[in-house]
Amino acid sequence: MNVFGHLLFQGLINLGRNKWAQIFTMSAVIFVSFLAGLFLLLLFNFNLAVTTTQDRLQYQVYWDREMPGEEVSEQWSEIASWEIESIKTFTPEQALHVLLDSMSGDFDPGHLAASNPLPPTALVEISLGTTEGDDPAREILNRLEQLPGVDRVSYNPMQMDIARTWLKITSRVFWPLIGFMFAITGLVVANTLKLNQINRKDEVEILSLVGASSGYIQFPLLITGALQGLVGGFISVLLLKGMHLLVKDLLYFPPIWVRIEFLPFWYIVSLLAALTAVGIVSSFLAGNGEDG
Amino acid sequence: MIRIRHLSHSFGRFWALKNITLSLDKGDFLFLTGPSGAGKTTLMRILHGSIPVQRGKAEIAGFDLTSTSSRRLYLLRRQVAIVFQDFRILPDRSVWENVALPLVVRGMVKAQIQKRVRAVLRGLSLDKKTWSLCREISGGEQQRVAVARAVVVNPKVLLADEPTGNLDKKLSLQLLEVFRQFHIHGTTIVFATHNEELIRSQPKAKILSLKEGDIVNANWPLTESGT
Repeated sequence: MNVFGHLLFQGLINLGRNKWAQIFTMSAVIFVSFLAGLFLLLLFNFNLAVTTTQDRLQYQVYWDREMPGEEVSEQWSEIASWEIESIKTFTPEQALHVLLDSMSGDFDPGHLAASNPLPPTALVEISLGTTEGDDPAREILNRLEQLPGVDRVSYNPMQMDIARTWLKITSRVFWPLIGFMFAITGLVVANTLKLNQINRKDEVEILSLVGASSGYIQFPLLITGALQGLVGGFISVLLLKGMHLLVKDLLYFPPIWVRIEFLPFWYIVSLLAALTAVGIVSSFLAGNGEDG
Repeated sequence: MIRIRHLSHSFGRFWALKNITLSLDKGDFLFLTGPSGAGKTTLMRILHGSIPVQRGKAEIAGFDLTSTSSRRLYLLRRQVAIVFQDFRILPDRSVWENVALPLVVRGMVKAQIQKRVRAVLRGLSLDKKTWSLCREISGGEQQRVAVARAVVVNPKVLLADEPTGNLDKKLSLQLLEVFRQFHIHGTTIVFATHNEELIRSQPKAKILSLKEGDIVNANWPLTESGT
């Protein structure tokens, strides 16, 4: 425990050695992480905007007029239990009321009230981004059409195509882009930290010459690398939050009405964990190359 | 303490050592001499495990250098200390930190470290420079720091690669006296130098002359059997 504490302390002390090299390294880590964070923020908000506006699909469901009201109500309850975003239901009376409200003032609805021609209907909305299955749009459509008493289900095929296209774009571009960005950030940060550690090769060589074990040499290097990654990442997240506070309402005006959201907690944790891991791995590689 | 059999080493097409065979016992003092490029430093580095054995066999302080893995070299280096002509000390650390380093890496307790480092610094007249940074002291003092760091662990074998190369005559003789004191206490010493005056000052020492990687002269039988 004593040796462990000593090595941990050495790792911290290392951050204070070669101050300018450490400052430049930390700056590089911070700015690369900050740029990566900005890119992530942009992608995240783009994806959010797309999924909240473009992946919604609506079905208008019409039942037979002869269908008993209780049975239709039971089916509405069943539909509401499916994996859907919302359902708006209309009894024939409610539908007529909505229709009459939309008519101009000189229309006389008297004869319609006596024999209402409208069937029970429901407006069902699903989100392709959150609904499970290979083709959730088709699946929901089939289920609606197979309900007893359903006369027809209408939807906009173009809307379905648009929603599917956006979904493909976000699933095939969003995650690969994030992965690519993490890879680039990892490479740049790893090389920066590795170069910084290699600057200390004389010290590593001397430690080796006086009988230090590879663990004794490498552990403080790993601690230093982990701290550089973690602290650099943390500062970049603070900068990112500051930037977010400045620009969050930048697009919140008509007709866009987009409020820029900050990255979710697990994105931040992933970013910090990745940078810490990169710091450890690059320090290990730098130290391993100089050992012996 | 040191057993070398048919040791050869090349850097590309240049043979730095050619079929070297020799033995040294515990407490021997060997002067390794010869012109630049003779192979002295290569031999020292092989004996310290800094470069691997290519051909032949080498043993030192109970370690077979042909089979000791790089991860176990630190155990060898805890028995075999080395002093370089270019010091290899940490310039941004104090004299105390540099000398204490081998003891710290061994996990020795603080009180023992203080006792040993104080004694060695006093013995090498460095006690007034204890807290000076090594980059702020003279070349001669830096060389003594390097020697202090090597001897503070009471090594079984002390390798010195031209440690007096940067020192004047008086300091060279002083430094040799430090080595002689450790030799008296049983440390085996291999001292590379071209300084004949130093060699003459130790008439009982063994002398091995190298030239272009070959042994050209030795004042004792190189192995127990003389082969």
